[in-house]
Amino acid sequence: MLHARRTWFALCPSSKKMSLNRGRLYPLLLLLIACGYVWLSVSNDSSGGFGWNGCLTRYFFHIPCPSCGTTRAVHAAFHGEWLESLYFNPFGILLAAMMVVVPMWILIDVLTGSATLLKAYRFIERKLQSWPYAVAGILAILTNWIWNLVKYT
Amino acid sequence: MEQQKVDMFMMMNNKFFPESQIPFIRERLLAADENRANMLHAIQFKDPTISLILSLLIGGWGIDRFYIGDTGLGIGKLVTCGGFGIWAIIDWFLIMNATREKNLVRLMSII
Repeated sequence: MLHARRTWFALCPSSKKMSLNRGRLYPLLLLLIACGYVWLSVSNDSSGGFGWNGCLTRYFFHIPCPSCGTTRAVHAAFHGEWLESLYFNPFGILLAAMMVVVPMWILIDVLTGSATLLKAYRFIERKLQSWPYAVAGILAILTNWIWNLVKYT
Repeated sequence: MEQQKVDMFMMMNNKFFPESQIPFIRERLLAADENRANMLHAIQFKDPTISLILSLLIGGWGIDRFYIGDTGLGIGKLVTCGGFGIWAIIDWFLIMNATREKNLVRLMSII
């Protein structure tokens, strides 16, 4: 199987474009994180003031989405207010940690010429695609969403 | 594989693959072992139309990316409200081709 995969990757003219390799994943992650920092700097409170609050769900359906409150949660996490951050949205701490760790990890990978972040990404992705982890993840997201609906409506 | 079987397979499944790769897939199928033919029918390809519908309706939560097997990007989309809404809109245009490419990777891992 592995041999066949290697062979088609060598043969297929656009195989480089298709797989999520280092050259695609790292710029995408850096772009997302840069957008995150820009978003944090322009929006002190995503719930008010702006015409565009960054959420299609709230814009069209006027209900909170599973990640509502993440901007406030990341703000709180960066100011060391962990409990407040957890209250706004538990995703916030995860995202704040990623916004700090991932750029450094990418820098180390680029400097050492390795692909440890890509390997970790693929490992986590594979784990999350297996049933126990997928069910746990879906339940966690649904619980968080129900909590969001209670908090923000 | 026999040419007739390859033709039949391509006729039934060409909507699942990128147009530019059809000749390459055909060539690879013709060169593949006969015993791979049975395995081909067992593969469940993801429908680009369904992924587009998912993208239009609930793309902001990354469901379209979860559907095609891009779990990591799906989570990225989910926790950022569909990339602040912008990524979700960009994906309306990219998701069909991304689905076809995922199907091609799936097919090539078998043959």
